[in-house]
Amino acid sequence: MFLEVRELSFGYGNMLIPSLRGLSFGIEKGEIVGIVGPSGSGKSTLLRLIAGFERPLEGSIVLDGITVAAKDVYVPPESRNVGMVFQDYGLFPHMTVRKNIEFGLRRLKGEERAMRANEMLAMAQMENFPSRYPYELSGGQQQRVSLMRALAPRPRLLLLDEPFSNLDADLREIMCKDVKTILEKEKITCLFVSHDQRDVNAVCSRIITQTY
Amino acid sequence: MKRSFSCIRNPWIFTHRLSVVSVSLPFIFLAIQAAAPANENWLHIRGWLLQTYVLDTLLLTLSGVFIASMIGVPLAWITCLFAFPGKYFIEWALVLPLAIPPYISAYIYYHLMGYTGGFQAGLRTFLGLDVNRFGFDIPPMPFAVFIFAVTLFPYVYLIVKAFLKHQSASLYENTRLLGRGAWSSFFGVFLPLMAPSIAGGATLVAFEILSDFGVTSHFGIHTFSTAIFSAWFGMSDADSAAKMSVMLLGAVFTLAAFNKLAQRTLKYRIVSSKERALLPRIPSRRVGLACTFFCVLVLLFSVIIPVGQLFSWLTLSWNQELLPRLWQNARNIVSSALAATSCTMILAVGTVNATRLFPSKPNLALAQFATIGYSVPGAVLAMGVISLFSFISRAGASFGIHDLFDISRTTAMLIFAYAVRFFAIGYHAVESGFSKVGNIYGEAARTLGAGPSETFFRVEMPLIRNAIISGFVLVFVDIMKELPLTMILRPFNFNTLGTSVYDFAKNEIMEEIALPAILIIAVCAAFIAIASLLDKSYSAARPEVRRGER
Repeated sequence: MFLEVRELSFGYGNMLIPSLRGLSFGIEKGEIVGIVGPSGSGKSTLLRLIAGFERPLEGSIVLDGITVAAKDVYVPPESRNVGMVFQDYGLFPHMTVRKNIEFGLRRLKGEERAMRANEMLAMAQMENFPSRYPYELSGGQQQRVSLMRALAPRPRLLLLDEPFSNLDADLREIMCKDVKTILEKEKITCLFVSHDQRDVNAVCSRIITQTY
Repeated sequence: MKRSFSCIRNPWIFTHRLSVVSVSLPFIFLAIQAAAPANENWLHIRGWLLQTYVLDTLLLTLSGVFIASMIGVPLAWITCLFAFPGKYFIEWALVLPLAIPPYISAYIYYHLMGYTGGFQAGLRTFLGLDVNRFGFDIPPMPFAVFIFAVTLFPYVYLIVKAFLKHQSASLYENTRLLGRGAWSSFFGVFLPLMAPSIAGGATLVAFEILSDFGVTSHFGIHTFSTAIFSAWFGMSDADSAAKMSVMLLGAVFTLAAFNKLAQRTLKYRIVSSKERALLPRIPSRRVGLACTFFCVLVLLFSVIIPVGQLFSWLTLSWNQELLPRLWQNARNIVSSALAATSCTMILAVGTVNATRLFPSKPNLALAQFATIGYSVPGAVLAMGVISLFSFISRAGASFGIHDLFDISRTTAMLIFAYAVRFFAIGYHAVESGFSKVGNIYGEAARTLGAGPSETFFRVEMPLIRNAIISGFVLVFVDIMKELPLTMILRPFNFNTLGTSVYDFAKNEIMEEIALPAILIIAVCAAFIAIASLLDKSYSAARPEVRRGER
């Protein structure tokens, strides 16, 4: 298994009932897996645990053969090489589209970095807008830039947290197709969380249903 | 790789711990000094004076808080509810009293009401009335209460107004639809909801009154703060001053605990998910004019009369020869304030970011503890700092390093004390900036491979820049106005604009206070305006930031 989640439990400090209890599943390399479930079932929490923003109460997370979270093990988010697309995109408002995409590429040299950024801009169909700021973009454009920014450093695993929830129905359908094409082209392992079964059906090859 | 909690290896945790230790040490040393055996002075104070200190402090604080709330709450209510004539200017101008230190207002009004003051002189000159001069001898206590009320009401006004601005319009509309008038809505629905905000503002007013030295010493009121000064300067008795400081500290902590309790027990949760903001409506002509009259009356007593009197004195006292000395005093306070504000903001930014990166309960509790300096009266903190630096000085001498932080020669003590006292202001400004931006940008940066420090400097700091500048400005303004700490901890022959005003007033050379007082007020007013603008532009001009809020 490329990603193995074993007996994972987590609860926020002020909650009596844990948001996740004894969750286990695995993902093969290159798979695009969807997680669906109602609001409050712990889908986003699961992604935050895999990304490293939260530490599990019990259980472990193994990524590409390396334990990244367990009882006495914690690898910080910046060292996990996991990309994430947030529900609100999280584009840095003080940086242009190009600067946003280049943010995760600082280990590359100047020319190499520019080439990778250009590649991402082309894939996002944003070649003409590299100098725009996020607030100058439409919802769909912001979504694409956010996806390209996450993909640019070639993460081992990509996490998508309700990426289409802020888009209207027509744009949502187009974006689902675009995202699927991009993910397959990049051959990236992906975990996609949504409360909408249609989004997950359109993008993912396998679905896990999360309940309370 | 394991997460490192070592404070040496992690600069954020190191800064967090440094803030906590810096704030704790003066209080630890103060407690040690207060535990010294009772001497003759203390027996005298306890036997003959302590009761007066307790009663005067209580009476002054409770009355001041009550009157300030009676001004601040109605002002907040009418500015939120009604679009009366002049509202937009008045709403802004009502913050200006914060730029006028209470001691400056006290000196001005004391002089104004005297025989040669503007009020009696005006009656004689313009109306030909030779009034009984003793009729204007206002007792010190009500006079001081008036001064505190007209200078400190903005604390209540601002906090209650901020609360009301976030209330749903449907609350007010429903009370009206259910047959209640504006007054009935205020007393029946909004006053209970506002109770925690009023308690919050009133607590700040109480802290300011307990900390005051300038007003109470001028009016000869025997509060704990003036008593600590008398013990230290009059009797050179640090032990007795420390004992009274600990007692006052106990009172302050009790007050803070009451405030916490009020915040917890009086707070209601709004259950509606869709809220429409309470927007001001155009009132009837009579109500509108009454609102304007009330606001202008408050501004008249709190800003227009004091500032007008200062300018009138300035025309009498303008003297080029005074400028070099004043310039030196201004340089003293500006350089100390800049140094202390920079230290404060570095500690505040580091501490807030540490609590975000490592949000454990102990870390959050310790960070909250580090903010107590603001609630501690200046005189109490000064005694703690003296105890601490005396120890350091003695310890230095025992290792052969003499004159280490010599009390009479260096401003290090003063700068340290300013940083401890005003850390809370910087901390809350930075915390508020972070809460507006949310965690999403930081988390996005971390998934893109940036470490905590790189995330802060490249992503979060540019986004909370205005909050940091705003905190810097507010800390700087408070240091400019500060008097008790400066009076006790300043090195020999080190004067500031505030101490100049105090010295001139003490020697009854009232005209001479004009220039330094105007300088203090002008700098504070300008900086408050900058902070207010930054706060507004920060909230309004960045829709993309608001969208990221969680």
